[in-house]
Amino acid sequence: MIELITSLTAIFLAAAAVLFIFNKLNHPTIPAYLVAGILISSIVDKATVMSLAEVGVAFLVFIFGVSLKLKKTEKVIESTLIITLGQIAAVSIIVYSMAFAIGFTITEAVYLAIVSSISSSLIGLEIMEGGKVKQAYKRICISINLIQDLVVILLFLILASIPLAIRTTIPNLFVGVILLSIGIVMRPLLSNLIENLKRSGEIAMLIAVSTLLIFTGIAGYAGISIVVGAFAAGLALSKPPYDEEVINTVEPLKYFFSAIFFVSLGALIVIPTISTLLIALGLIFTITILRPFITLLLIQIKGYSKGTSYMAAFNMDQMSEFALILAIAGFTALHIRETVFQAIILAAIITMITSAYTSRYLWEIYDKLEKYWFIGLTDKKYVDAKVPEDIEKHFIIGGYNEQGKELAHFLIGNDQKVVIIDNDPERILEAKQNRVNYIYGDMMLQGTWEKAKHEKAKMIIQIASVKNLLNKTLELETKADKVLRVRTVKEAKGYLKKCTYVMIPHYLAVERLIEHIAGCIESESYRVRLREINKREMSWLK
Amino acid sequence: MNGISLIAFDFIILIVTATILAIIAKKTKQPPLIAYILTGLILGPVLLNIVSETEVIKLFSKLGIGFLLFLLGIEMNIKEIKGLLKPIASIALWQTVLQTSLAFIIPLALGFTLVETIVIALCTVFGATPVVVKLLADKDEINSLPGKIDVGVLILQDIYLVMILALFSAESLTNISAIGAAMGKFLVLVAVIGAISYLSTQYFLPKVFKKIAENKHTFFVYGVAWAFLFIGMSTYLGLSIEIGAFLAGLGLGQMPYRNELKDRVRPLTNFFIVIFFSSIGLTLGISNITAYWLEAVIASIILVIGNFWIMFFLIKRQGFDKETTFLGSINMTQVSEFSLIVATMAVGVQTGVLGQIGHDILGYVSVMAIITIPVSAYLINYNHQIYEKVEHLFKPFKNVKRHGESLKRLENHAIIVGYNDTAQRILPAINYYFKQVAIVDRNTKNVDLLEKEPVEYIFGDFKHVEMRNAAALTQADLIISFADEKIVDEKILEHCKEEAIVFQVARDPTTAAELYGLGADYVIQEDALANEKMKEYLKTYLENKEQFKKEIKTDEESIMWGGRCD
Repeated sequence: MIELITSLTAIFLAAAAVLFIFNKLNHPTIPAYLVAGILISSIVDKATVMSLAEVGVAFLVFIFGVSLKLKKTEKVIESTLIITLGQIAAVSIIVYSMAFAIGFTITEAVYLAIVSSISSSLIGLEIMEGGKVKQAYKRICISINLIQDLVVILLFLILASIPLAIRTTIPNLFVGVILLSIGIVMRPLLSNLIENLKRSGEIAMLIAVSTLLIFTGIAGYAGISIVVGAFAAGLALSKPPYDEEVINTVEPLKYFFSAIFFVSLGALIVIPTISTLLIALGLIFTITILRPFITLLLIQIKGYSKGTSYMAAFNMDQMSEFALILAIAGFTALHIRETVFQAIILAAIITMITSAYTSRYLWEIYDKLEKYWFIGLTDKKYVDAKVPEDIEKHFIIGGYNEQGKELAHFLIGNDQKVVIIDNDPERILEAKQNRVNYIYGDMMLQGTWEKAKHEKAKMIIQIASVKNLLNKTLELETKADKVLRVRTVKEAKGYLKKCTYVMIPHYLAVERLIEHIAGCIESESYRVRLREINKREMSWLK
Repeated sequence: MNGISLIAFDFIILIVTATILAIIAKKTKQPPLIAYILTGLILGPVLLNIVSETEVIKLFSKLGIGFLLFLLGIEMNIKEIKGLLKPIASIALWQTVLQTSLAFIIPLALGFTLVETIVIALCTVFGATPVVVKLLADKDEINSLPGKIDVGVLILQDIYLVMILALFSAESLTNISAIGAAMGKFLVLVAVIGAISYLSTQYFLPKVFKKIAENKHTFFVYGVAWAFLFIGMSTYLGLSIEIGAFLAGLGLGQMPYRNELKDRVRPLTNFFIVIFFSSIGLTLGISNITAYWLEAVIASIILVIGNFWIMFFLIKRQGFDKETTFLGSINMTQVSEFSLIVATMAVGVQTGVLGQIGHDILGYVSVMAIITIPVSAYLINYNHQIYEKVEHLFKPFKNVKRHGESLKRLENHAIIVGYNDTAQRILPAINYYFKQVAIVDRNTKNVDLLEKEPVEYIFGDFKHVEMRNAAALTQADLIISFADEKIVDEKILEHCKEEAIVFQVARDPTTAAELYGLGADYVIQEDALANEKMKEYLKTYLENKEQFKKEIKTDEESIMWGGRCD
């Protein structure tokens, strides 16, 4: 007991200390935990702590399941299903054959192949925001990661029954499918129950934990992976709006136990041998270079622009959290040797950290690489534009979102010539339908602006408030007036002298806002009128 | 990961049973605590005997009390209870003396030997901190005046309790000077740990939290790490987990982040505490219970009534009003579950000439705990209703009010959720109309700035119930939310009072229409408002470029000189 409490104390203190440094450097959380584990590996009572760590895995996967919105998920999956499956197949075939050729066992080669073909994930929570994500490359990443996660859960079902034999594998698959179906069938029942209990947080938490324990318990006794059980339990509680209740009350438990999981995983790391290092190097190369290039190619074939596919592919240049779970599962089941296990954890730490850096400097790297052939098939084939050759004294609007659209149509209404630029195919489609001159391309690229004839324009309005895009717009050599849209006053100060005007939405909005507040407080009829007028207008706009 | 080491049968059965009973309890409007205690009794040796107290259950129940006390510490804002410290100390002191005598007389009268009587008296004198804290927190009454008095008294009792535990665990009780030295050492250690906690939250933690509080995940890990630091420290020094956790929380309770932290730690605590309450029943054997059950029932009745009147007399004496006194007393009528621990330890202690203490004493104390804890759970749960029913009986007591005015409450105030540039610019206008303004914000960069402002500053995410309670959402007249988060907006509209004016933010017409549908008075769409203005500018630009330049000049100047001075 006392030893366990000492272990937990050590785990959380080390985690806090390393997290402090990692936060300062803007590094992700998970490698911080793993490093914390390395630091305290001599203090921690590994055997007991590992059993708590298992609970961490269960909670991680459970929350992922809860946050999956079945309807939205379908939509998200659709867009990249072929790309993702292609990517997984390509990478795993390459890695598998390499590993097998070098002399790993079939099972080990399979593990290495899976581990290197999936990227960071368990991003369920972000999917809820899926509709809100505006940038095309981020949508692609979310979609690919989601599909990978689902594939991995299936793989857990199969891997647990290695050595594969019809006698064990088929029943296992059967149990898994039954668990998942029970989860889906129970969705409405459980959400009714929570509703019935007036959404009491404490009981919602208990119901969630009970469901999780029952499903993982069944999975455990039936001899299939608890990952599958935890995921099924998550699905059972994923019905909106009660999923929020569940996530809010169970999330602290997830944080608590997953911290224990990742730290104790780190505590298992020993000083690497030469072979561990070599395997780790191979994995790192595959994950940071080989896999992104394969992904990049596939995304481009699907029709996305060079920049978008580059950003998407290289944002996924790290190992998945699932890979860690897979590694420890394989290790405890004696499917992989210790060297392989160590190499996977090592590669995870390194790629997760390097990925934090590459994602920060992606555009800078892109500028240097863009001219080379390996970044993509020629842009011409895929870039779409409609701009009259002789256009001049026109307005260029960067970003065809709500604001850009409104301003563009206002200007067109005032007999002005307008060109809009966007890199989101959906918005371009809209522009086509609205008969607006458009360029489908990256605003980071000089070529895009040249196509828009920026040197002959009257004014450039940059709606996309992204730092590097704003800077790129400022760098353009043209006599045109430049108007930038910026989110905060602080940022605006930096741009003030370099362009014609900086529009800050809330700044322009605040005067009217104070009028409305005072009006509502002073007069009830003002309040009623304000509400009615706007309510009507909104439902009309909608 | 096919092992089932932790997700073991005992644990699953325990949690699932507790859940089912809690659902039934909720449906029949019983306090969930009863459900948890029943869980242990049903599954333990008393009834089915299918679950035993495994290592994991032991660990989690330990963590349960630890985190409960940690939360309790966070809940205590020293500034707020400063005025209460003196009366509480006095009540606690006298209560201990009087209740010990009561607890001494009863078993002696029931025919126990002197030694047994002493042990029983020591065991049954305490109130059950976890029980009272949990029930009051569930009812959101822990910050009420009677709640604060009770919790204050219980904490002082806990310190006293830990000293007794230290006594029983000492190897021999024969040497008076050894006892004195142990007590002295104990008090010094508590003071040192308390001082470390307090000083670090004054000088060290503000800097750290400022860096990490925005990251939900990291913030949580820090809170937990801080609790473990003190838990580890006090177990290492031979103090109890509870004292360490409480002192850790007490320090954090003085920081602006406390509400957010409370909200994050509460679900974890709820989880562990369920196991704690369930495990009480697991330790009881059937033979324990039958030995002295009649004596225990009689003693329980006397104790409940006696304790109530002792507390009533003491609180009243300090000059609190009738209702506060009544509620403060009725909350404190149970035997602590710690009595089981004390009794267990006492059973093993050799008292030399006086002989060994029998196992049946443990049963006697257990029965008292089993009777008084549920009874008091009901008394606490329905304390207001009971007071209404019996109020007329308390007419003879005069209502002098000396304390209690010090607790300030937000009422008819304005709440601003999210402190951004716009909020900053409208604040003067809001201050003009409202005496009290609460600002809820979760950006650590604003902490220093907002702590200086003459507003009630609450750090945290308004989505969480703790923040809404702290800002007294149900009492506010004006709520302006810049959160731009649907859950937050829904919660505001759901919980605010009907006539409150609500302004919210939406990015697009669809969300705006939804918010109007839910009852928002005005939905701020910055981009739309801004576009209106921008179109005006563009029109001017097309018609008269010089005029345009003039107009934007004023804007530029105000951007340059306005805004935040950072």
